[in-house]
Amino acid sequence: MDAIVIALMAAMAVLIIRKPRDPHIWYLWGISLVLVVGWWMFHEVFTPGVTEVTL
Amino acid sequence: MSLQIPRSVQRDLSLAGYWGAVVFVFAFCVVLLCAFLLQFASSELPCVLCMLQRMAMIFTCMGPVYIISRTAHGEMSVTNFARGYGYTLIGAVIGMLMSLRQLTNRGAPLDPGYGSAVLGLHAYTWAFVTFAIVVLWSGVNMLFAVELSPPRQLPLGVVPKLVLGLFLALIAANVVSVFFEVGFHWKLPHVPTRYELLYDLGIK
Repeated sequence: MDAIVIALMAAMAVLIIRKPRDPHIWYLWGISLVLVVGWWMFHEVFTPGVTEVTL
Repeated sequence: MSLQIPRSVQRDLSLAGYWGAVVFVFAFCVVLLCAFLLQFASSELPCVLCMLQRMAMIFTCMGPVYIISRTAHGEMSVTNFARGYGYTLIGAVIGMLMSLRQLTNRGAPLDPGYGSAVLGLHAYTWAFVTFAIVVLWSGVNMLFAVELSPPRQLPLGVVPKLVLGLFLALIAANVVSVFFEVGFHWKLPHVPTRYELLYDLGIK
C-alpha cells in the first residue's frame, strides 16, 4: 500500500511537471491526500503498538 | 493591497520567489537523501510513521514543483503562486501532525527513541522541525504572494531541471525501497527489522 501511494505521488509529480494545467492533478492530489491520511488513520486504529507510548 | 516598492526591487523579489521554490525542493531532496543515508548506512529501516512522514515530505514538495512548472510553461500568476503554497501548507500540517504523533509516542522518560540520533535529535524530531519551518515559509510566501510571485515565464534552467530530476529520482527510489521493505505484504510491520521482499524470496 505504501508503495502504491508513493507511486501515485510520482505520477502526480510527472503530470505537474509536464502538464501543470491538467485538471487530473486535482484528482491525483485529492486521492493522494485521502490515501496518506487514511493510511495513517488505518495504522492508528489497526496496527498494535503505533498508538502506544513505550516505556 | 500590495507594498509600494521600486520596480527593480520588485523584479529581484519575483526572482527570489522563483528561486525560493527551487531551494525548497532541493532542501527536501537533501532531507530525503539523509533519510536514505540513515536507512542504508546505519541499517535503520523506516517504521510505519517514518514512511508516512516521507510521503508527507514528497506531498509537501508538490507545491513548489507546481510553481516551477507553471513558470516554465509561462502560466505563472499570483493565484498559481498562492495555490502552490496552499498545496504545500496542507502537506506540511499533515506531516507535522505525524511527526508530533511519533514524538509524543517516544517522549516518555527513559524511552531511548526510535533509531539513532542525528546531532542530538531523532529523525522524527528533525522531521517536525522541517515541517514547522515549511509552515512558516509558506505563510511568508502567501503573505507576500503579490511581491514574491515569479515572472509569468522563465525558461527552465539547468539547476531547476537538475533539482526536479533529483526529486523524481528520489520518489522512484522511495517506491522501490518501500516495496523491498514491505514485500508482498499489505503493510509494514510496526518495527521493521528486515527487507521482507528479500526474506520472502529466500535471498536474505
